[in-house]
Amino acid sequence: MVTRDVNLRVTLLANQGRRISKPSPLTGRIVQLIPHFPGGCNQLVDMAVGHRDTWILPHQVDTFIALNDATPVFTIDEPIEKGEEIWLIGGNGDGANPHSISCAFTIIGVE
Amino acid sequence: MAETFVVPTKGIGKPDYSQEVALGQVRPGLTLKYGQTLKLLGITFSALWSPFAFVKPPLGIGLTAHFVDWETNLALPLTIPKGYLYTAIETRHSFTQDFTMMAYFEGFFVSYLATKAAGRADVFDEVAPLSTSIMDPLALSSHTYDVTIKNLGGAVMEGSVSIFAVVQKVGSEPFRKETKTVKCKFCDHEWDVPQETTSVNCPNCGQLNMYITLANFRGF
Repeated sequence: MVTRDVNLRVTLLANQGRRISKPSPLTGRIVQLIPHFPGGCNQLVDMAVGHRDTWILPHQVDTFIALNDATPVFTIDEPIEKGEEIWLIGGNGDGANPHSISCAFTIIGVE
Repeated sequence: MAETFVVPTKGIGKPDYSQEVALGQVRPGLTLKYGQTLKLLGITFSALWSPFAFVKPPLGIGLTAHFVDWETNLALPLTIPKGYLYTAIETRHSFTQDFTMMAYFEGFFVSYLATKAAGRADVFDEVAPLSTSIMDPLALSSHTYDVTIKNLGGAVMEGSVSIFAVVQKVGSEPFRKETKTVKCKFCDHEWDVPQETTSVNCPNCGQLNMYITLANFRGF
């Protein structure tokens, strides 16, 4: 068993939404998520993360979290296969400022 | 879901400074705080022609010259306004002749910044004692600061000296103004230009003058 981190980071212009993704490097389990919202987001920037068709955070489809100057750590236990798509959807509802948000996934498994 | 889509405005947040924070972490260096600006004082003596205003002809034997502000070509003394502190943070110098540099505060001699033999190249990054904060910590009045250099050698002198300094507001309003007064290297005409101006033809004699700008500097 090995541990790998996958970091998804996206810069969103004002009123821009983007979906970015990377393949999972391991077959195993996603055990930790660390989303990051820089100061200034002011709860105006939405984020959701998941893999393939599964929404992990928040777990309900088409829902988002929006924080400010926060980097919480979530412990999860989500099975994933190597090469499977890990994604982040961000939506910047700030009408004036760009924001860069990110989420780090920690995966434990085998290559 | 498309890779990129439009999000309706929910409000107005604040600028994202995460890039600047990362910059400071990966390449440590000088970073100015709010209300601080840089000053670069000094002078260069050279027989080479240059449009840069702070590049002067070689200094004759026994002659003395005042430093100039590299942003404006105005010769010292520099007036530090009431409410501001001036602190030198780095100085460097190298000349082809023996020389001495003398600092004056309020018009009075205060110290020999350097008296050295020709050919040395020195950099000092701890010159904090060259600060008005040790004379007037609260900046309750304006002050004048002057530095001169004298050629002690037996021939005309070439070389360069510079002093980097931080000018800091004691309060909240930044020191930087919209315009600066510059002086023509060739005819001594003085006029106002925007702070960011680095290359401009003199409206009096038409010669090209080049300056530096520290207007938008925030950190290395």
